[in-house]
Amino acid sequence: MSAYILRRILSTVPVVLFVMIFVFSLLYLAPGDPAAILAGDQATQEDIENIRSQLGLDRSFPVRFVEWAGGIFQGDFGTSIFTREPVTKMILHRVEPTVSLMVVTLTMALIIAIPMGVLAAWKRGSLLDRAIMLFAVLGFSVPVFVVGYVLAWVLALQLGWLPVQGYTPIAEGLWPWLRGLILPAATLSGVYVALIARITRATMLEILQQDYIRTARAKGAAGHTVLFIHALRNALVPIVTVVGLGIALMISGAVVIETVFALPGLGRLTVDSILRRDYPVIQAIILIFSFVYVIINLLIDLSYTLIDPRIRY
Amino acid sequence: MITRRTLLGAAAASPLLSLPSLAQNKTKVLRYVPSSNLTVLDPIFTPAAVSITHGYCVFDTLYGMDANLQPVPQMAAGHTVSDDGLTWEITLRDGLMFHDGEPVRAQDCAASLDRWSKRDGFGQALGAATESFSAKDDKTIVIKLTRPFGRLLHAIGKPHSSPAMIMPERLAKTDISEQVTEMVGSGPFRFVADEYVSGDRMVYEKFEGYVPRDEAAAWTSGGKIVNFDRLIWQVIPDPATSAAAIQAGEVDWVAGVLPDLAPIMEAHPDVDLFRQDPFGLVSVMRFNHLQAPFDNVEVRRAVMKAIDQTPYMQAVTAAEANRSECLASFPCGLPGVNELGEGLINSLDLEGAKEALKAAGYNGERVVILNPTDIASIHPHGLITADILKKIGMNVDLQDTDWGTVVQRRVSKEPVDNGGWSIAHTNWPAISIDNPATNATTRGLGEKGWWGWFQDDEMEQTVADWLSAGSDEEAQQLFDKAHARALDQVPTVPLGQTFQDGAVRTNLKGLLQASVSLFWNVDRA
Repeated sequence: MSAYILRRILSTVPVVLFVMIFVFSLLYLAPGDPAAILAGDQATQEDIENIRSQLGLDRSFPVRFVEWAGGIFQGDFGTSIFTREPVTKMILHRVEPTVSLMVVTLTMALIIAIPMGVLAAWKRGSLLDRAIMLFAVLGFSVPVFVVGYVLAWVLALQLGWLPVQGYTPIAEGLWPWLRGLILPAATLSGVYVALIARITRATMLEILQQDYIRTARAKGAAGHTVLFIHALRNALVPIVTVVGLGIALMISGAVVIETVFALPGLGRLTVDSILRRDYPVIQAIILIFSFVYVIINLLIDLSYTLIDPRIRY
Repeated sequence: MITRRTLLGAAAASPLLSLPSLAQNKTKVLRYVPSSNLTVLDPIFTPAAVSITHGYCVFDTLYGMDANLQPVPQMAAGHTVSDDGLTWEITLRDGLMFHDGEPVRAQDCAASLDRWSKRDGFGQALGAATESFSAKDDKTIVIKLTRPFGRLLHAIGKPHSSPAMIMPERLAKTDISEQVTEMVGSGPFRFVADEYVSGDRMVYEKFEGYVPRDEAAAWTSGGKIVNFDRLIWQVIPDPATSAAAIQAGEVDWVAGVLPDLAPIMEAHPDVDLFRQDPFGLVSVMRFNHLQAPFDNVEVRRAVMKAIDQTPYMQAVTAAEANRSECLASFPCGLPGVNELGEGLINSLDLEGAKEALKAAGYNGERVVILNPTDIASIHPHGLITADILKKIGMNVDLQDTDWGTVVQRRVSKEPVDNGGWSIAHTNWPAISIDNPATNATTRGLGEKGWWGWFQDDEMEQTVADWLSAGSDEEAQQLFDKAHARALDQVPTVPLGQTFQDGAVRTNLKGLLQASVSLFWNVDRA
């Protein structure tokens, strides 16, 4: 097992290296010039050239890449072209809101979706099953920003229960932190509730037909015991896979949510940096996301062994 | 031994359960939502409005603009000019101090003016006529000129893009191609660097060491009296969310409200609309003068003949109160600007334009229009221009892209077949193009000037004459001469003036009009 984990971790090195080269090349070739954006509307060609030279943007591709990659291996992601702050500092400022949003969203989604999926499978073909599946379809179909605006209008503007926007760090109190995240997390969780509920239902339907479930029922096991102890554990492998992939997909969903609810997270930083061509920031974020994605995949694979003892690496 | 009292004390001290302290509640806070994120802190390095807004919090200027847009002393006590008009001495008023506790000296001001004169358009014009910026003593700045420069106070007192803000000498020595990131000024607010998170929030605190002038505040002049302990800028990228936030009372002031949302703001009992800048924005169509077909003045005149400003303005703002036709190459409503474009601008003469185009020898050359899809106030302009040019028989290639790409491509002087361009649009704050020297859209500096590279020696001579004009009458004549030349040579086509309102909570009073948001004089009723 430990050999497998080591092998998997080592296999991330070429992946991350490839991402580094690919992202750097892509940004190098992409149109747009941060020096021109920085200089503003009144700048002359000479102003732009001077700024480009000052920022080192006039140097060749290999020189810039080697310098950047060298910095990465020393734990230095460089400096933002625009704010002149260390990229590491900028990213650290933005990690907490994004991670908080993901944690609360996933928690909400799991708490709601798994019982929904199990119930739908248990009451297959009933009105309840149809209602749950209709909710799942809506969760997939309605764009998150529409859900966001509607929820904000009702819960924040009309009822005044929740703030419209902004993020309160967890250090300032658990309730203020959570209160600010309920709206964005509820908005973002719709898609995941739908996804996880459908997968749970489909998997549970298959498992509920298995012989060992029939045996458990024949032995007189209670309904909830059959459902949650015998069936659900064996249904967890596909659910965990979907949750894991969902975390990766959530990064793109977070961009919209962070914009709508003014959360200062990594998603917004990514978009802002792309629009203004802040190369060091874009490169660092993509690199971090790639690494996180690889690690999540590894954790999903490892979790299978805990869920299903028959799986061995 | 752990007692009940110890446990209660620990719980009270825990950040997870703590409540805001009473001391915090006593702090008077103004919450503001800027129009865009503040990424560049140096207001000399960039002309971005948000950086200038920030600049006016942190820095001060030697001269400010009064309500009539005339320069009046701000950090200065006054000035003297030698008989030959070549030596200006500006005396600093008493009590000026930087946020680091150091007194403001003439050396700081001279270094700041020197740096500013290397970047700003008006500053460069002054710089070109200046032998040196120096300090006679700690209180006296000396500007030695090589030729008379009658508009010197207008230059160093200009309110926008970019004002001549004063920094400590050690910061002002920074190369103009590099940003100043340490925010030490002598303005009414102190920038709280520890709380700055670009893209999220900027925090300022009242600078207790600031000594306001005695005069009433107006535009960027007079007594800058701060009535709040803290000023917090909250970046809210989504306009609908910022509108909701002010309705919910989470913020006090939103710099820019989308025209679509303005009626909702107006209808809300606790929110008022506020027109920050009475002169608004001027939209312009800019030609590339280096490449065919717009290297031909007759073609440019033909295009101007076909233009109607109304659809351009309507595409940006539906409300009639938020737009104004302006038959001039300079922003209407500003001192010295006469509407000289009657019959030339806004004639919507498509047939006349077709004939003029034929007469000009237009031969079907491709017209590449760079069009940013991510800037709502510019994107429609490209679409409208493409439609008009097609109607008059031009070979149009509308290239939709993002703003970052437009900004990069519009500095290309190559032919259109090699990545070049023919037309691009932009908006200018009216106040920043208010005279022949500052109006980059009409200057004839050629390849040393604004993108589009309009070269016109006659225009430049007129600008130089205007700068050194001895009297207001002579200056006005020269202003009109420059204006007439711009209308004749068509370096750009003016597309009208639009105005954007901000939103404020009804309990705020004392807001000042200016080209950017100013936070002194404001108080809560």
